[in-house]
Parts: sequence; structure tokens; C-alpha cells
Amino acid sequence: MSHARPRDAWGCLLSLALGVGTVTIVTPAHAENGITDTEIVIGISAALSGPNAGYGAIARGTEACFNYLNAEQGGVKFGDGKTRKVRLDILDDAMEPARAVQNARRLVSQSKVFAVVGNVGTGANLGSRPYYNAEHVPQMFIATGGPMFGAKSEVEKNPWTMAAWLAYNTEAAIYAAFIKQKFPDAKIALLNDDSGGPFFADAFLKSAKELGLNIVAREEHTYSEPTINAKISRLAASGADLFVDATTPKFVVQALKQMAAINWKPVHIIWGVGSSIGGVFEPAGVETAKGVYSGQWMKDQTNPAYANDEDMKLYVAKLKQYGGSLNPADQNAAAGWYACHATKGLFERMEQPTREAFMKAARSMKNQKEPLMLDGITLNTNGAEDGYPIESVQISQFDGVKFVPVGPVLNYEGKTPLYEPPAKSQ
Amino acid sequence: MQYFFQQIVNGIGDGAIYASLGLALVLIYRTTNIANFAQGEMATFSAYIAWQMVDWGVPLWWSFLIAIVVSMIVGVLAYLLLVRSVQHRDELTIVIVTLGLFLAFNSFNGAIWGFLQLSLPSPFPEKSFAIGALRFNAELVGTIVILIAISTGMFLLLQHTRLGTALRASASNATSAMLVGVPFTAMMAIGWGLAAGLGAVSGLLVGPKLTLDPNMMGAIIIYAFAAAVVGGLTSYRGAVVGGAIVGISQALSMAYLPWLGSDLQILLPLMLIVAVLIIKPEGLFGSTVVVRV
Repeated sequence: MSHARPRDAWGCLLSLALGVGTVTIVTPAHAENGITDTEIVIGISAALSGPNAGYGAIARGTEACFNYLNAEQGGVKFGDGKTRKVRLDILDDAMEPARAVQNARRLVSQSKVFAVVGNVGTGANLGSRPYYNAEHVPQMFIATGGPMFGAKSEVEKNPWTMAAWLAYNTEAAIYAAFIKQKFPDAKIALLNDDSGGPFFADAFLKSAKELGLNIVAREEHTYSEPTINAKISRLAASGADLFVDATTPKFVVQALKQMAAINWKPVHIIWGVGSSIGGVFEPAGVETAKGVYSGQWMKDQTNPAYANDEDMKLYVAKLKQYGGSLNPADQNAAAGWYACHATKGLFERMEQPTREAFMKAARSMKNQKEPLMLDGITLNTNGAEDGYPIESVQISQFDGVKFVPVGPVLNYEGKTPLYEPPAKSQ
Repeated sequence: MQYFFQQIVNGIGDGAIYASLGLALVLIYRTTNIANFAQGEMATFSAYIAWQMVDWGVPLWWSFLIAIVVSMIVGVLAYLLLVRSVQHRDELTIVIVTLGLFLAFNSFNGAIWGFLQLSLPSPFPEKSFAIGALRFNAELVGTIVILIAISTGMFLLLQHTRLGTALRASASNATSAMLVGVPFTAMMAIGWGLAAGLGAVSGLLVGPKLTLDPNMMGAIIIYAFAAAVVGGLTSYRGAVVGGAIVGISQALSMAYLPWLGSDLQILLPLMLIVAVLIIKPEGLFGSTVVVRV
């Protein structure tokens, strides 16, 4: 911090001497970074190694998508009429915040990226957020459901950052409303993990309280716990007849198996993170998962309902062609494909080749529909007032083979619960 | 009361997982004097081999057999190519090498088979039994039978055969063993091979239960070490009982000490290790090492 002061002082003197002129000289220099008339450079910092390396498929999915666009469509036609190829620079941060910050510096100062897209992980993105915002480099469509990234007060402080996924608090509020409508007298048990789960749980408990729902048991588990069988037994022993499960695929599989083993058969709601048919239900046994409700906003390749879907067919074909060993059944790869297209959507609406124009497009999305998003779900933002691009969910029920929609798309546009930083954080 | 017994059953189920890997740790420690931190990742690799075989249409039991044999060969190779060159260095060097192996196997598994949850079929029928309101499945019973069989088999092999004596001799005093004509390198390689084979059995037992992913054994290895140390690092019976103790105490603490929270529950095996080391340093079933000074 102390180093910054003399420079700031020089900056003040300089702007005093040059007056407003300084601003007009500096701004284009910023904006020109990473974009020419024929090319744009995008950075990605994601976990490609370490225990979270599985999330690397998000970056690889984005890469496959841009490679496909470059090779078969000559790049992306921008809002200013020019067609540019997209060059990616992908760095590994193992989802560690410290490395994410290092990568941010490297991407901005050495690779001179125009923006970063689809950086993975709540912690890693929170860690690098101050740097991107200080440098005025868009940190766009980051792969996290962290509720802070869309909250008004946070967007005002960090206008260069926007998430790509449904926020955990929005999803939680929607489930609470769904339960109130369909199972108002349920005795509810809640299980969440300790990464994204607490954000979900906080919002769920709050909404449940407002709606007068009856929560009889709650458990949290860490990723380092070998099994959660004892916790499932504990939840079952509470007498709960509705189970809300907000954990990662590995632990959802364990929960389903243990529920079958101890013959606990509540109404079962699993959040979108853990409800992939191929990634969760098949390993756990589809019989066990029959009847599960889940809220979804993205199409799942392992859901036979989309076997003839045009988006899906293109995604599967091109991922095979450009994605190396990526598995189309991996929802992370699909998330990367979606983030790439959402970014392409912004490029197409960006009237000038500047970062400001890019952010302007991002903060003013109206019913933007992108590949792999469920029908009836679109991207909508409105400056700092609405920083959450996705706020609708289709609740569906698993019939043993595929998900069947239950009721219409639940639209929570503008109704995402107010995000309050948890008191115990840090 | 039914809840209490259900949690005991859960604990035994988890304990069996720890014990299966703990047995491999004990074996490699007994035969080569090395604590192999890569044992869990090698077991995961074995489970992937079995999964791959099943995926290619090989019958289940053949897949398991192939996985065990391949793992034993890989174990021997890991020793001959990597560990052998550093085995006479200090313990820290060897630990670092096994940690390197840990990372290597972990990355290799992820690179080849990806990070999605894969489903390894269980060798046991999908039956569950009920005694009163208490429920447990065939998988649990089968696992326990296999663990007891392995620990007895290992005991007999090491205590009552010439090979076992030679293995133990090489581990306890390399120079003397070589002087009386025990082929030291071969014994070490056999130790690694056997441990890898045992690890494979662990991977095959755990895989269907936890579902297969590259980090399947990441958390298990800590508890497996706890099981092995609690039981005494030298006793096979001890590893099985140690696993049960760790598993049951963990399940009961989750059931009755929820205020500990999920973050602190991992301290439990650590506390058990420390307590055992203070009260009975050789472990519950371990043999006291006598050194002439």
C-alpha cells in the first residue's frame, strides 16, 4: 500500500497539469489491450491440476467451443461489424485463491488479455476480484454460484465481475417456494457441503423461516470426510419426510446409496449441482434416484429427453471434434460451452472494441438465450440493480430414465434474496 | 437404541473401508519398513483398471483378478524403478518419494479416466438383511469376511512360511538378511507387489461403495493410517480392529456430538492416534521392538 502513494501523487500532479486530457489519453490505451481488428485475447484461470482438476473441464469446454467458432465460422462477428478470432490463454490455478491472483497479474500484464472468461471457483474468483476490478479488466461469466457476485452492493464495488451460473441463494429460495406450494407440511432435513453449500443453506433457512416451513434436522459435511453415511442416518432418524440435498456429486451418490441401505424414502430434492443423470444417478443406481426433484437451468447430455435436441447434437459433435478427451456427459464441459456462447452473445452486442462496451453489453442483457440453456430460461441483467444473469429454474422430477418438468419455469427475476455476508466469514 | 446400533453398523462399514487400506499399509511397513503414502492412489488406480476391464466387457471376477495382477506388477515396478534408488537414504527422502508417487498416480488417474463419478460394480449381491429394525447389506458382510480372511492369510504367510521369514528379515535388518543369503531386492519387490495387490483388493471393495473418482482414496488414506497406527503398525488383526474403532468412534461422534461440527470431526482419528501412542506406543496389537544396545 505504501508503494502506491507516491505514484498516486504523481498521477494527481499529472492530471492537474494535463487537465481532462489525461483521461482521454489513458482510456484508449487501456481499451486497446487484447483486441485488434482481427483478434481478441481472452484469459482463463481454472483448476487444471490438484483435487479440483475435474473443474478444468469448464475451461476445456470453453476452449473447444472457441476453437470450433474460429475454425468453422472464422471467429465471432462483433457488434462493430468486424469478425475476430478468439485466442485463449489458459492458466492453472488449482482453484487456489493465491495462484488465481498470480494468474490474474500474468494474464493482464503479460498476456495482455481483453478480459477473462469462465474462471472457476468461488474462492479463487473472490481472491482475484480486487485485481481485475482495479485494472478494469472484465472478469466475465465466472463459474460459480456464489451469491455475492450478483448482489447490488457488491456489483457497485466490483462492476467488472459477473457470474455465469444460477446463484445458490436464488436456487434455495426457489426450492423453499416449491416446497411451500407442494409439501407445506413437510418435515424437512437439510444437508449441505462446506463450499457452495453454506450460501445455499443460509438462503434456504431464511426463506423457509419466512414461509413457515418446518426444518427438523440439518447437517453439513466437509469434502475431506470419507463417507457421510452416519450423517444420512442421523437425518433419517429425525423423522424428516422431505430431504433437501445440497452437496457435490460424489456425496449425493453416497447419500442415495445410504438412503437405499437404511430404507429411508423421503421426498427428495437435490440441487442442480448434484443431479446429473449420468454423473450421479447412474453411479448410485437409477432405481434409488427415482422420484428425485431438482431445479435445472441447463440441459444435461445424459438426459434422454434431449437426445434429439439441436443444441445438444451440435455440442456433442463439436466437443468430440475439438475437445480432445472431453466427455459430453460432463456438465462442466457443458458449462464451458455455455460460457463461451454467452460471451459470444456479448461480443455480438458490443458496439465498440472496448472493455467498457463489453461490460455495458453484459449489464444490459435482455432475454439473451444461449445454447444448452433450458427452454424458457434466458439471461437478464440490469446494471447494478440486477447482477444475476440467471434467475429462473425449471423444477423437474426424475422418472427413472429422464427428468420430467413439474409445472412451469419458476421465474425469480428480481426476486433473488438479498445477500448478506455471513457473520462468521473469514 | 435402534439409532445407536444403526450408527454402529455405519461405523463398522466405514471402518471396513479404512481397514482394507490399512492392511496394505501394514503389509508394506512389515515387509519394507516404509510408510507408503501413495498406497491409496495406487488402490484407486487398481479400481480404475477393474472398471476399464468391466467396461470392455470382461466378466467381473476376471476384471478383479486382472486388476490385482496388474497392480502387483505396477507395485513391483514402482519399487524397482523409483523407490529402490533411494531406499537407503533417510526416512524423509523415502516419504517424499512416496508423496511424489501419490501425486503421480492421482494425476495419471485423472488424465486417463477423467473426473466424473464412475460406477464400479460390486462383487456382492444387492441384498440387505434386517435384524429387528436394524439394516445392513450383503456388501458389508462380504467385506468383513474378506478382510478377516486377508488378515489371517497375511499372518500365516509372514509368520509361518520361509518367504514370510525372509520378507521380515529383509525389512528388519537388510545387511544381516543379505549376509545369510536372502535376496534383498527381490524381497523388497515382493513386498511392494503384495502391498499393491492388497491395495487393489481395497480399491475393489471401496470403489463400488464410494463410487470411483480420482480422489476416492484421498480422505480414506488418513483414516487408514489412523486404523493401522491404532492397531499397531505391525499387526494385521490390529489394522482390522483399528479400522473398526476409528469408524465406530467417528460414526458415534457424528451421531451424538453434532456440536463438534463437520470441520472438527476429522480431529477424532488424530486424537485416537495420539492417545494410543501415549498410552501404548506399539499400538493395541503391535509387538514391541526389542533393540540390543
